[in-house]
Amino acid sequence: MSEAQKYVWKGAIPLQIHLHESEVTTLPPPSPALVLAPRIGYLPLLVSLLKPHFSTALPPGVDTVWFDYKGLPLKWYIPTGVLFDLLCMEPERPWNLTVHFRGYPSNILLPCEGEDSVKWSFINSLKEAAYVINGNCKNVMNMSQTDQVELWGSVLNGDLESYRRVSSKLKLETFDEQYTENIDSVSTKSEQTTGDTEAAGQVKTSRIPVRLYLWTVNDDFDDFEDAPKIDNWDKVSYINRPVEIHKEDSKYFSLTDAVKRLLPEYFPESSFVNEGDANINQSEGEEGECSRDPASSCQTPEITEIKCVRIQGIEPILETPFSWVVNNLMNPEYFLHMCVCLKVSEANAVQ
Amino acid sequence: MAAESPTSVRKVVVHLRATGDAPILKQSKFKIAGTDKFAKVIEFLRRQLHRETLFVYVNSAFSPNPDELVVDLYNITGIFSSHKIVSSFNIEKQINTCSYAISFLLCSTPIFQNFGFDGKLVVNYACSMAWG
Repeated sequence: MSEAQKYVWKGAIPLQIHLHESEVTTLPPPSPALVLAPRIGYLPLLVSLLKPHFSTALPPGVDTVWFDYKGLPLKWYIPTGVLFDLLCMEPERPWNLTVHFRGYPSNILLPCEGEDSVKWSFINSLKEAAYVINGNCKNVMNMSQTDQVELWGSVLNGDLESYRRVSSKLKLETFDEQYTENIDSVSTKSEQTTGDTEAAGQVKTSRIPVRLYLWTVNDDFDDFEDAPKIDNWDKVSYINRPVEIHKEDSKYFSLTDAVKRLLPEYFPESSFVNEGDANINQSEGEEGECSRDPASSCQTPEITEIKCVRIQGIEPILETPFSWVVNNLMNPEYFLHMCVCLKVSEANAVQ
Repeated sequence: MAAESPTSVRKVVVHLRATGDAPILKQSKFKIAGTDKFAKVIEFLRRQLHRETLFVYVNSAFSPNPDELVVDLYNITGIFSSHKIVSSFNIEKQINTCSYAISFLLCSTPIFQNFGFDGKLVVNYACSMAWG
């Protein structure tokens, strides 16, 4: 396991959680709760820590616990780290959230029954990712009960070693050895690896499961403090598209290339149109040019600009090999969560 | 929304398939905008079947997040056009043990993967958990 993976798994966000004023029944009101929330975790998993803190102040009755940030109800199935990256562009520490024990906004949020719902959502995301990678999810469905418990436990406890032990059984290799090899060096192994890959079943295309949170701005900003705030979920497009990596892409396939390929409606020139091999070859040429000169906007002059790509709390430089990003920064359910901000000039805005 | 380019506003035909003892719908196919969320499909089934609890699977495999767009799910299934995708979703409380597996066929051309796949996404619905 890499250093980066360890950082991702250890990553946490200091939260300062306030009880919503409408639910305060005591004087003085309870002090806010300070919690260190794992990036790869989910907000409902914190409830067992928060309940004892606020229990004495709560009005009678029971409802699902939910959170908001500046009035925006937080989607519980989005990993906590992603929520922070998306909604708190200028990182605020501690992150001030409000907790509600009443009045669940079921018009905005999906029903949630605590840990069971989160686990259900996690396992199904894992199955979806497996489907994207392999075309089936047999390995996830055939997991033994013990392994399933261990896998979920590893996420709950942030135990990377135990996670690696169980998840390796799922055989979900997103990148062929070949791609990974090429990044580090042109090693003597790569020839051998290529041979193996072909023998193993002609894997020509790798598919990377991505959950992309896209928002666009019309006006430029220099500082995240000046960036428009996301105060409504309608401002964020929730896009689930796999990134297809073709063998021809080789080691030059960068984060920029991935973003462009994911969003052909914004980057029409540089995207693949998979109508046949001829087109793939053509695109290969284009991509090649693109990689050699990453600074140029690849034949799409000034229409759309990638303003920011934030993954696991960092903004990797856009020339970073995409395979590195995937292998190091993906979440435990095998999805890569990317927060992407595009600057779209008004005249060409895709609406 | 930003992702709604003109190409993605295409209609998708959804084919609903009962699994287990789930009742078969009179109208098993319907069209839906690709930009709609999967939640809309689930809602349609709940109304048709008068059930609070439903399990909806894409290609007998996974239960998508209701916030996912129909067209994205279609494209995922379109990649593997020879397979069918089933997704399941536990809509609300598991009060009910009755199970419906739901299969949807989404019929449309994928936006960015033009495979000439004739565009059918099958969704199975069940009243009990069909594929875990």
